[in-house]
Amino acid sequence: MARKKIPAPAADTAEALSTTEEKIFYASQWRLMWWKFRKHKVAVIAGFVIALMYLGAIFAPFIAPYGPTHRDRGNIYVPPQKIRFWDENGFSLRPFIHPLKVTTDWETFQKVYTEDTSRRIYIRFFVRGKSNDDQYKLFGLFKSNIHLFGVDEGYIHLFGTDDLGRDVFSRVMYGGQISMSIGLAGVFLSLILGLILGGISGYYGGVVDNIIQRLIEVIRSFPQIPLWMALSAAIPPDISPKLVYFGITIILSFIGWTALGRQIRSKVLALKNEDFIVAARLAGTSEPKIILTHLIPSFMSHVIASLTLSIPSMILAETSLSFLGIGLRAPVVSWGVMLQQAQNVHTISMAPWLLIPGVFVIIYVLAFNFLGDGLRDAADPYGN
Amino acid sequence: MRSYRFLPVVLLLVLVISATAAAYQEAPTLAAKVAKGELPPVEERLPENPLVIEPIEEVGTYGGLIRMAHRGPSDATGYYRTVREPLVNYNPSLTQIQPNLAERWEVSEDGTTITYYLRKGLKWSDGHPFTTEDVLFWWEVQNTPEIVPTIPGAFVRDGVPCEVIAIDEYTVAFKFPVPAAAHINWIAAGGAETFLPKHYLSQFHKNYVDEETLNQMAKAEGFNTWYELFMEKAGANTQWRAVGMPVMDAWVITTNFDDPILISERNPYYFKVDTAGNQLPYVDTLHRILVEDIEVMKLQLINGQLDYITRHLWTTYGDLPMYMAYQQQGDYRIIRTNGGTPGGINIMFNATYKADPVIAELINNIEFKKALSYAIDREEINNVRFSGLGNIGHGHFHPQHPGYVEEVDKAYTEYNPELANKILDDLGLTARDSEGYRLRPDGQRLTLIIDGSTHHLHHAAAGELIQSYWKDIGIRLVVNIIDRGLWEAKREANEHMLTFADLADPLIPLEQSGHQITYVIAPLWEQWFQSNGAQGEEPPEDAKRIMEIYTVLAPATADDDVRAAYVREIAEIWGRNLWTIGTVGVPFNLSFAKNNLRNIPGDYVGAHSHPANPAIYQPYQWFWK
Repeated sequence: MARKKIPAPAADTAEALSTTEEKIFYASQWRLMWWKFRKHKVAVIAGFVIALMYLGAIFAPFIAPYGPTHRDRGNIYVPPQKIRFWDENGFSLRPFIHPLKVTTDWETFQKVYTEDTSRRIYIRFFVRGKSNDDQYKLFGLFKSNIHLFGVDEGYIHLFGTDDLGRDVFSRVMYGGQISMSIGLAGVFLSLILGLILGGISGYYGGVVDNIIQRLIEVIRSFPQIPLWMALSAAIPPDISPKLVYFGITIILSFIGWTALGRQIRSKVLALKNEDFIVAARLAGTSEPKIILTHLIPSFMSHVIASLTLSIPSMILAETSLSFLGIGLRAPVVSWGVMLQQAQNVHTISMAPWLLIPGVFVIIYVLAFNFLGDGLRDAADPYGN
Repeated sequence: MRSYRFLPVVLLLVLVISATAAAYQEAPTLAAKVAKGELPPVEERLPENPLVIEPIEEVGTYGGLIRMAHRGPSDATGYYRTVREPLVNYNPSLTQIQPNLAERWEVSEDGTTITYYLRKGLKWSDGHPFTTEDVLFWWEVQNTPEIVPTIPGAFVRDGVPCEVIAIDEYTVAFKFPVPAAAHINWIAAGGAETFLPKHYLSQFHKNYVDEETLNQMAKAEGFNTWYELFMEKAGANTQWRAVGMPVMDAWVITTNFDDPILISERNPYYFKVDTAGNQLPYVDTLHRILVEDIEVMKLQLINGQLDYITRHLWTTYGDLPMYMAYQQQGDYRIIRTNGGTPGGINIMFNATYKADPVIAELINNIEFKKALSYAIDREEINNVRFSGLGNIGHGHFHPQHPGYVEEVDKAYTEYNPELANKILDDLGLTARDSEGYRLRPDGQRLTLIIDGSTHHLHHAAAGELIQSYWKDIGIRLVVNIIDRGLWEAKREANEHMLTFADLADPLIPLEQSGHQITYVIAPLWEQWFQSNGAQGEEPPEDAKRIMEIYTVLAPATADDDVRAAYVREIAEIWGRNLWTIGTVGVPFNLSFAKNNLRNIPGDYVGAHSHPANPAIYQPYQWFWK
């Protein structure tokens, strides 16, 4: 509980407080939250990881050596290449790879890639892309074809290539842009709707409460699949699937807020008659201030927990509506789409590196959960 | 010595009887039942002249079980295509029609009447005699609208159903209103079986039992009406196979299609023997394991948990490297068989597209379509999707078909983006937007939309490639991959601009009725044909000619040369109009069999696309070595 009543220090015990205690005692709630969060080491690391991932996503076109649809023709299912600093010819400060020799074994129909260890291809930094497919506009503004790293001769495939010869590393980078952004918009929209409507419903009660609750019931009883089918029929097919999916997540959040709305209503109902709220009201605090400074921080931990739970399901649900033509689907590059394409025995047995996007999903989801964990604890700085 | 006068005769008789007794052997399990008196001896169970099957490798031995996989009741076709016993059958190389239940047949001079002479002494799997009564009963069922709403198209010509006439107990004639000689090819290749067990099913049919009594019977078993009960008992929704119903197949099902394993046990009255006189089948039991997911089937195959499989995996050519890599572990061999997808990845243009007149004009312009065709790198598609096994071409017909025309099939298929760009420039589509896409005459970006289905995995994959090829010539392609039902509904409603489709289905088997041909390339022509000109849009002469060949000329003749000439004509018309552009097709199916499961024909690759696979490869003579 926020703002638990802490006995005011009596004058004679004031000297007994050490400096640390004093610091804690006079610190603002936000400062306390920060201190508490800082102590949660895992959460801090997770926060860094997430920041790194978003940084990677923002600069994806620059970090990725190739465009997401650039095909290394003929070189399909290349296994991940090793970056080396030394080989039989000794050490090199500049990292290099060995060129690949490809032969097709017509007995087994398999492409066999062997490293030519006698030659080195050095990795260069800030190189020009190989073709127009590698061009990009950073932030949608600056047109460029400079990439963080690349090779002069042939290709470098850190995570190998897929069934069409596209670089998996580049696709993971680009995929992150979509997986870590579009779905989040929907999650946050439903959070905001749930907070506002649930909060109003619980705080004011009466007729308003009644109306909002009935509205929630109507929305929740609405059959969803026919709704999606109607939508998929109504959306013209030449609109980009990205945009369609964005629209769908927004619509989804207009339905999705109801569950959160109910939870928040019940939290508010329980809280609003607590002593500290009543005290604030009697002291003449304005209602927006009561809601913002007293109520919301009190159930913040709950909101954060439910938020961190909905993010993983959002990523995994990316492709779930694809069968109606409204989910994310190829040629859009996202982690969910890449994983969906890798869901077959062939991938697992012959090209397991195509499952690498899954590793990124796991890292992202775990990092979010740890971060959420830390935030939840921190949001309740007076708890134990 | 009067009493000795007949001795030589008696001796001879004894010899003959013992010789015939020695002539036929049976499975040990059946011999045991005969010894206990549960079954009559094998000579009495076989017909007067059993069908003698030449072993493909050697005379086999009895016993064992074959594990296959299927996808439940909706996949009953797969079971049917494994065990079917039509009146006449093709040989495994599909070059010749052979006797089966009928020992011989005749096609009348004018081609309207096909007469079958059934083997004498054939018996259903419960021992009841099989006669023309059962063929007549089957026809009666086809003419019971409650059970079969419309008579199957193969038995109807010009809207008039054929007549089925029993000349005697063993002779039955199918009389068509117009020449229909090719009907027999259809029966032999994969068409319907034309008989049902009257002695068993008539007890559920209203023509034989009072309807009131039947309805009560139905209610007692949880059905509303007598015909629902009939359909259940006759397996009408599972390709006329149901537990308890006698069959003529080599095996009889003993569990249901939705059970975890569909088990079928040997039919003691099966009418085929091998050259040594062993009654077939060799294998005691068939198992079809219920597997919903095709990926799981692949897993079971490479883990060695299946003994034979072709259906569902037969066109997964892209997985061939995996199948090869796990051959040792799964202990199977890979066999190429008839079928496949000769049409492969085909792009169809809707010739009666209405929604956008500018696009409609373009996609009916042959030069425009040539440019689109030249822009596609078919070698790359072949390598990445088909492990390099495919055949590059438009895929109108199977490359081994006698009517195959290579020049038509390969026209405009070389990869030549420069030429494609030049053709488009010459068409006046020179203006481009900031992203390099060409503009239409009305100033909009030139965008084509192609539909594909989520069910056909290669649609999305090929779509991505074709999108990038066409981007190189300045045309934007939107790949719209949707649910299969939606995809088909859109085509029927004439709403598609371009669509992926498998050409093999409509074009290859000339025996099929023509009404699948135009509905993909032009739904409005299809309506016109269906309504005899009352609705839709009048098709051009070329389309009318194709329809004439399919619906009137080809069905009337069984002469292979004439049919090949028709195929050539269709290919030429099709190629001239470029109604579709093909990319890559693979003219065979993949089948997988355990290494010690023998007598399975080797690589048989012929021109027919839709034989009943693997029934055509005679599973009754497969055995474990």
